[in-house]
Amino acid sequence: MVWGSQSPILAAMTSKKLVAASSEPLVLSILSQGESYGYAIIQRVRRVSKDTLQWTDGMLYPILHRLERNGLIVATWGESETGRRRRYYRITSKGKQALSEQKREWSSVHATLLQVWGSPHA
Amino acid sequence: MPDFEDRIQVWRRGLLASGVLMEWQADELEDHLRTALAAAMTEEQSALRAWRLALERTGEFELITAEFKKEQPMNPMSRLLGIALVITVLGLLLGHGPGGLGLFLHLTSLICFLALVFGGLVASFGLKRVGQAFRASMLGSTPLEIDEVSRFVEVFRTGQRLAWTSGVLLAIIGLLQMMANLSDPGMIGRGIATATLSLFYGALLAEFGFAYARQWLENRSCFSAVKSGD
Repeated sequence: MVWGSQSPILAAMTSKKLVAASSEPLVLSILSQGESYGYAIIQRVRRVSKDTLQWTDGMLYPILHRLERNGLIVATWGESETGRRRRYYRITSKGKQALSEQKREWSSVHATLLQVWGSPHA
Repeated sequence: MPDFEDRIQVWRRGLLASGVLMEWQADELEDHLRTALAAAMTEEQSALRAWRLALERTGEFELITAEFKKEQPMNPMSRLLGIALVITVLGLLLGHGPGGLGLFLHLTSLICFLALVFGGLVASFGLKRVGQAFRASMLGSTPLEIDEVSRFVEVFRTGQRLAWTSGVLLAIIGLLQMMANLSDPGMIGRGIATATLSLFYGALLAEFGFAYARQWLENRSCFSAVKSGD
């Protein structure tokens, strides 16, 4: 199933491996902008990617829990607007370091691809 | 808003029934489902369709528990227990009867068989990658990136195929050689036994060696939360 109805072709073109590889930097990047919770993170990814990155919402949580186990993020229980218990996630300094490293790697790949695609021999 | 409490509780019980998720994880996912449901109610006119949409986005409990399971490292003791059980049963089966274990050991066939399988693997992937695949499968339990797992899984998939193929190939060669020398009736039984042994080695290594190694490796894959195929 594709989130929403936009860009099904683009969605199909975003390979599983690429989406998987980008999940960690995506989550860390969103959390680097402030504390958040699972549903809001998913919504943010959905908006930013214009539906091209397809996750089943509930599967974000194993990723969040792994990042937490690795000390890249921390979680605290808070309260939702309806008064229910909700888990909020926050990036740690170790997470920020990891994100900087991942940004550097992704930027390097991105720049290389742009160079190649921009060249007359591409 | 219609009362979806029963449906939510059934879904939650499904999450917990597997024994994979803890209460707090189910709490978190329940909060997600409720938030998704509230959002879906604003998008859909029918309450039932809103429920389906929320459930589809959040994920059926079977799917979620499967993903959580992948994040849980396998208990090394349970793996050892399984291996011990398989080896014991195989040992008892093979050791029982005339000839005992020695009946299943034909050194020349075994060496040829192993050389064909591992030679084929090294020829396909190189010694370094084969070694890395075995290390990744047998040692360590921390999650591996999906790319790394795919690279190594391919080694075991090929190994499984090579084991079966080599077994069949050696059996055919053995039978042909035996048929070329039918003048000695004493050799016929021995020839058939040796040829069959190659098939036995193939089945054993493919299904009790490479298949297990591949599964152990797949258990270490840390992410498959993506719906699109590639």
